[in-house]
Amino acid sequence: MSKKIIEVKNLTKKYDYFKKEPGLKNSFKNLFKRKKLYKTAVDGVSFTVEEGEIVGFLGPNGAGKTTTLKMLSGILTPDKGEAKVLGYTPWNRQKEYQKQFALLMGQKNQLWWDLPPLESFLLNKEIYGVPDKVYKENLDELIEALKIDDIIDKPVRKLSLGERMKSELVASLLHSPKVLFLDEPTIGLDVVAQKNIRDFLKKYNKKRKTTILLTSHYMEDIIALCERIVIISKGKIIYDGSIDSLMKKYAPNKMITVYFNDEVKKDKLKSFGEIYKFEDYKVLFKIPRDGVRDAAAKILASELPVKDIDISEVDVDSIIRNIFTD
Amino acid sequence: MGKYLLILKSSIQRNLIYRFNTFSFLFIQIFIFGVFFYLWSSIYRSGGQIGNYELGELITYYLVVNFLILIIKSDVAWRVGDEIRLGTMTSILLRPISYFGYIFSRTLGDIVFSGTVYSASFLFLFLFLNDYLNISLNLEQIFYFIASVVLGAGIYFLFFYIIGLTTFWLGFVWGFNFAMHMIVSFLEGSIIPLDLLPEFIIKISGFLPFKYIVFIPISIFTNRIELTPNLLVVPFCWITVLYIISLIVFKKGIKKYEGYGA
Amino acid sequence: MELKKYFKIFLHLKKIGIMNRMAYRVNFFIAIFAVGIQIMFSIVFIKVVFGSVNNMAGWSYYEALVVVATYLMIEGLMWSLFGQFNAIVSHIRQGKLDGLIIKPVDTQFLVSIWRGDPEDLTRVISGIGLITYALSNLNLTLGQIALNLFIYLFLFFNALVITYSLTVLVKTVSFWTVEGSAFFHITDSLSRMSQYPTDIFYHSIVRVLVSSIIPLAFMATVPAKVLARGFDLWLILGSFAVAGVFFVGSRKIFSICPKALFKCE
Repeated sequence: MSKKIIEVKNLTKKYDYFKKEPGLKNSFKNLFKRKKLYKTAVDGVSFTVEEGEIVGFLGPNGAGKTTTLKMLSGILTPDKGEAKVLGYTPWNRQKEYQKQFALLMGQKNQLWWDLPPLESFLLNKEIYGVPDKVYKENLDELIEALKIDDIIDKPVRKLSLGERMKSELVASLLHSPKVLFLDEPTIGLDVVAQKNIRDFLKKYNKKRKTTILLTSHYMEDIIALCERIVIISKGKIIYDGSIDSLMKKYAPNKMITVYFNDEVKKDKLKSFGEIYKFEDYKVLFKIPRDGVRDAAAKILASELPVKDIDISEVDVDSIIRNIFTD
Repeated sequence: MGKYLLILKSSIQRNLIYRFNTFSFLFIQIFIFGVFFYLWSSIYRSGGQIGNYELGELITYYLVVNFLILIIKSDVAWRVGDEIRLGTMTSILLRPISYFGYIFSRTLGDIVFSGTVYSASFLFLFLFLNDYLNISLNLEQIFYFIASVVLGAGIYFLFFYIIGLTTFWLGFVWGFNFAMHMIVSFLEGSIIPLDLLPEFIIKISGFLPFKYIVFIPISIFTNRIELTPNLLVVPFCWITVLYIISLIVFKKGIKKYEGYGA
Repeated sequence: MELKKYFKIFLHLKKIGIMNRMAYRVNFFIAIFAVGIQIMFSIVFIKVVFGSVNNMAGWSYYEALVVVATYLMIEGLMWSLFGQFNAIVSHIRQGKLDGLIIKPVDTQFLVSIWRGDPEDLTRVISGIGLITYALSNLNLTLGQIALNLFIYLFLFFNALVITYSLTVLVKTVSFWTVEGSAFFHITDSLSRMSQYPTDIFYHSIVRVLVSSIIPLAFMATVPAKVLARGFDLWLILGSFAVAGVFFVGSRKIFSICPKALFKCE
């Protein structure tokens, strides 16, 4: 039975802000009377995460992903609900808890700008009280895995975004955290850097059984890393499960793409299935999952001048988009 | 012309939002004035005298100094420096608007706002402390005073605008800006009345425009100086010179400007 | 055990502060120059005043210099060790405070020592030089100087605590209004006014005010008075009392701040 590392029950967080209207006259009015408005960022969110899981949080901007992570890191205190990470209530900010997790925010730079990453690593070592031996082992392993040994003594401001991100990652893993919270870790990075980081996280998670919670805009991050995905919209969880089940629930169809050697008339194809798209020498069929094998067999056995046939999923992005527009 | 008026208006709006700032500055200057008030009063009470100043003149001096500081002083150098350093100057340069006009309108907005807000408080202070001060003003004095304050403000603005522009070459303005502020505060008479300083400093000050920012206007106000047109002509010449320098510096600096950051 | 860890972190951050400064050498030297000018002005002011009189609210020229020197040293330490607690300003503005809150080290401690301007050690050094010069011109025996200096060190430490706590209080509270840069000037000006002996306030209400709510008296005048004139029980007790109250108060205010402050983004 796998250990429950994170347990979240009914977490709710509201925040208030003042309505600001344009114009000089309104600025004067605001001196005396301001309208206070509320927004519920996180609304009764509940979920559990087991040891070694990598869970992806997906959702539009302002959906509540970052706020949830901040509550689990102890930065914010919820208005309602409870949560336990490694047995601790995060917002009590106990030192024993803080030594066991790490938070990496993709858009915020924690390293000293004018100094080499190594200096920031050493500072973290002091702050987290990492013994010399452990520090050296971790550092060597991380530098090798992320291939950054040639840049750790260059000032951070001279590094590329990808190198900076990798250094930030090293800095947060030096104290061997059991839980890793990642907020948009690959944002703004080029494709190669993104892949490097994804591969690294997957390997690291396998080796160390670190529990990882990750928020991202990029579907590739989620698909590559997470077996489980939680979709948040307007502060509420609207899906929590595996990506496969997601597809089955919201994508009951698969796509069959057929390429032809000769021109084919459209009405000849209608008997094989629902036509999604029709072009010269190409047609896309939308077929329910369990009917795909039969449909493909029928097409291949027919008189159609088939050059090639392709069976694929409806792309995940449009599935997600569909969920949100519901 | 309308666009500059709009900038001025939004500058005032900004000031309204940062009202905590406004009251903090007022509190600070009144506090500082209070300390100097007691400093001079306690000295004169025990029979001392500073230079050829009477207590009333000295207290008036510091009262007006603090008032002028509130109205005239702005963070032009900082603002310009940041816009160069962070590259936000680019967005203004791309528009059909003169950068100088933009900065000038913004600062004017600050001054209009400060002038309005702080005049009320200082008027109150003046009335409250009437017994200590012995102010006698005639129309000519008032005219000269207001004119010299305006000219002094112009000199302050242009000088620190140029300091801000040095960011084109220095990359960073805070150390230099800080040093310049110190020096100018001293040479303009904000710290001690200029005529109390050693001879050689007074001589140096004579060659520089700074005394027209604080010392001359206050001397006019306290009637310690003869009213001649020179008092207004000289600072006006300084403004012209500084303006021309600023245009040259800006032209040269823009060439170096990479629009980096942002 | 914990103390050792905190001390190590402190040293490390100060080392980082120096390295950061060295990255921009020109600025470092300009900054020292600017600080030097400010120091000069403080001294010139006192000189000019004493050029006309020989008594400032009962303080002689050299005694007044002791106050200025104390102020210089306190300001110097506030800048070089704590960066005037300005890290809280920049961190909140750039949203970097989150990164410090989650660390297993006391947050107020971390924010306090995160920044520091090494060039302000010039103030400390000048202060030491100035105080030596002033003391040598006062008619005190070596024994008296030694005794007074001993007490002075404690009162100096209290003055630092008070100045630090006041800075934390003002800057933390300012963020409840989430606005611009005024608070920087508040504490800066308050400190600057502490370089004048608080005996100048001849109205007793004001005297009480500057000895309690805005304890200018204990920030420089009191330590200087004891050093220059000798033992004074009430002043010493007052110094410890005010320091204690302000320090505890600042910690309380800072710990409330997070809950009020860290709203969602």
